[in-house]
Amino acid sequence: MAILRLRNITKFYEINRNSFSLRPQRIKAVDNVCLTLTEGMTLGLVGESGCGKSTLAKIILKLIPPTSGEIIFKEKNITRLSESAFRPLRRQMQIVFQDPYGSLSPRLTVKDIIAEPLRSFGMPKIFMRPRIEELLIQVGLNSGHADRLPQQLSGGERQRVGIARALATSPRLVVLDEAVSSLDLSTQAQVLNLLVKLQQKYALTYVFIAHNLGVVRYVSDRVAVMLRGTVVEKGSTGEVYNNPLHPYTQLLLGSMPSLHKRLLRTRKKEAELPRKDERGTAADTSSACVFFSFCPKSRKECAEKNPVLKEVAPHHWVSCACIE
Amino acid sequence: MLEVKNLKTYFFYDDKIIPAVDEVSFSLEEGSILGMVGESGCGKTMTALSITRLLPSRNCKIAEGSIVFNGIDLASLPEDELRKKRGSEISYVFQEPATSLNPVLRIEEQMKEVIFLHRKDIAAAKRDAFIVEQLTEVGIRNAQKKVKCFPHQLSGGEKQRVMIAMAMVTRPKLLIADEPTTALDVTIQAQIIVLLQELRQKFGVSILFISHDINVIGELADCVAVMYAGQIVEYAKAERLMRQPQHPYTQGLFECLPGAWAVKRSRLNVLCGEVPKAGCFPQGCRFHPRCPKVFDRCRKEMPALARQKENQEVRCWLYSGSEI
Repeated sequence: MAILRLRNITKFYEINRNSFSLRPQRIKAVDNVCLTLTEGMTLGLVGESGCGKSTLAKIILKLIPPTSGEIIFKEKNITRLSESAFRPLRRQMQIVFQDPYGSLSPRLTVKDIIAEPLRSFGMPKIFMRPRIEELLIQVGLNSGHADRLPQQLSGGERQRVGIARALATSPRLVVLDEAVSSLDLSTQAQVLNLLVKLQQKYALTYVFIAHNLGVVRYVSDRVAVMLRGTVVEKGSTGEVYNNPLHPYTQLLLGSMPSLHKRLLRTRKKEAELPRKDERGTAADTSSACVFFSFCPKSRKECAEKNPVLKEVAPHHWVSCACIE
Repeated sequence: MLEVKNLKTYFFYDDKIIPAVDEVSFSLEEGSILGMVGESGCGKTMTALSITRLLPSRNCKIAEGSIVFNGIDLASLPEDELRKKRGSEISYVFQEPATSLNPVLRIEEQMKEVIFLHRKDIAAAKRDAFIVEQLTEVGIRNAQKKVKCFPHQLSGGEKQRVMIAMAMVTRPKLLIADEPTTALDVTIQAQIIVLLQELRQKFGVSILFISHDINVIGELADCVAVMYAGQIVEYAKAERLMRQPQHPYTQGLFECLPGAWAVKRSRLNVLCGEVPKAGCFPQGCRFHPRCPKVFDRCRKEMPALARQKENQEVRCWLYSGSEI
């Protein structure tokens, strides 16, 4: 069952907005994105910095309003819902942030950090302490951590506190915005295991945002590849990784450093990699395909029309004019 | 060409001594790339800083050991002699290209500074042309125009290319690259890796490449040193290390990698615990509290780096009978 549907979500930011410019320039942060999240599944969002992943996450959580489009959470259109009407649903969606150093208040103890969402949603004080201890144990900490300050914890422990805080309100949907990116390899693996375990236990739905393609592959059931605000390819993880069809996805996967490639000696030479240094600015509002200027396969029609997502195989959509 | 022997860099405080780098020995041949890999706080950066003696504070000193670079011991060289080596024979590329360039100077002026200091052989009139040539060399397109830019006008990849160009201006014999691709997107990272390989081929520069990402190291380096808690725990040819990691820590790191081998949702085989902080290293082998194969001897005595087959060196009691 779909827990969340995004229909034609678009977000424009206006820049150069001053009294002298008649027409403010618009940046397409997210452009016409349609996604469906099935309950209990993980959707991986991949793409390079500035492609709109985090903006999309904020839109999903209704932290910023989309310029147009609809967000449907549990069959209910929440796009234009007032904050007070949305509040009962708010507790069902939570977020874990990237930076475990910046996202926890340095002056609150672990206990207070986790208590904050509980208090906010009106849990009586007497239930609070046992609930906090239960949450700490679930994320692999113990009640001894409750009275510590974030600075007394390691990076992995802090991220676990962030996860406990997100789980406090028993959410259905958790957005993990680069939640493991800043952790060391061995800690990252521990947190990934924890996330998978929690998902199985509570049938959580994850939106997993990361730039590390290997990690996304490991946790995701579905993957959406984003480029300059649009989804260029989406589908089941196996399909997208094993059979990438969009030239950008191919480039992205081809750039992935791997031990494997060294053993197979199949490293691509730079000549084959389109250079992205002079990528067009996001303010560019031309109607060309977003990948047009770097695409090795670009044709004349690519300059004129931005292709739409087409289903090329079951659970595999691609937006590229070259693919029939 | 570079031979580091028994290097010990310690922080000296009034009441205690904290070892940041302990008994590190390695050698780097001309034109080869040594990858140094390890989790944060394991002493990678401190090792690199020790080589150029750019240590962060007065309390931090090289306590013991020698760093022989082309026959000269850098560890005991007077400061003014060493300054002549820095920049001209040994160059450094830092992790964060955005913060290591001066934001208020144009690229041109920053490049000129290096040339003025280290390349007196280039006449003032020829400097402009030389800068453009250097930037083109590292793959910056439209260098003619880019020299007039301020750092913020360049993309992350271009900034890192400028950094590399500045480091290469003096045609150094040794390039120390400390996490040069960590802040970059995967596609740009792939380009920088290719660029470093090209520079090595063209100028025969040796590279000490530091990264926490095993995948990147595996793709680029000829030899790899794995660091843990201030020590090298394993040292081998890259291919050998990828095929047959011997130290339990290296094995654990490989198993933590999601992606290539991990079957989706199978639990990642994690190393439990966390990297010990400098100053509270355990007795005996520093890895023993986290080691799955720990036995009595590990808790009491520290193993030495011992040579195995195919020049692989391992710091582990498991292999104490099989040295050659």
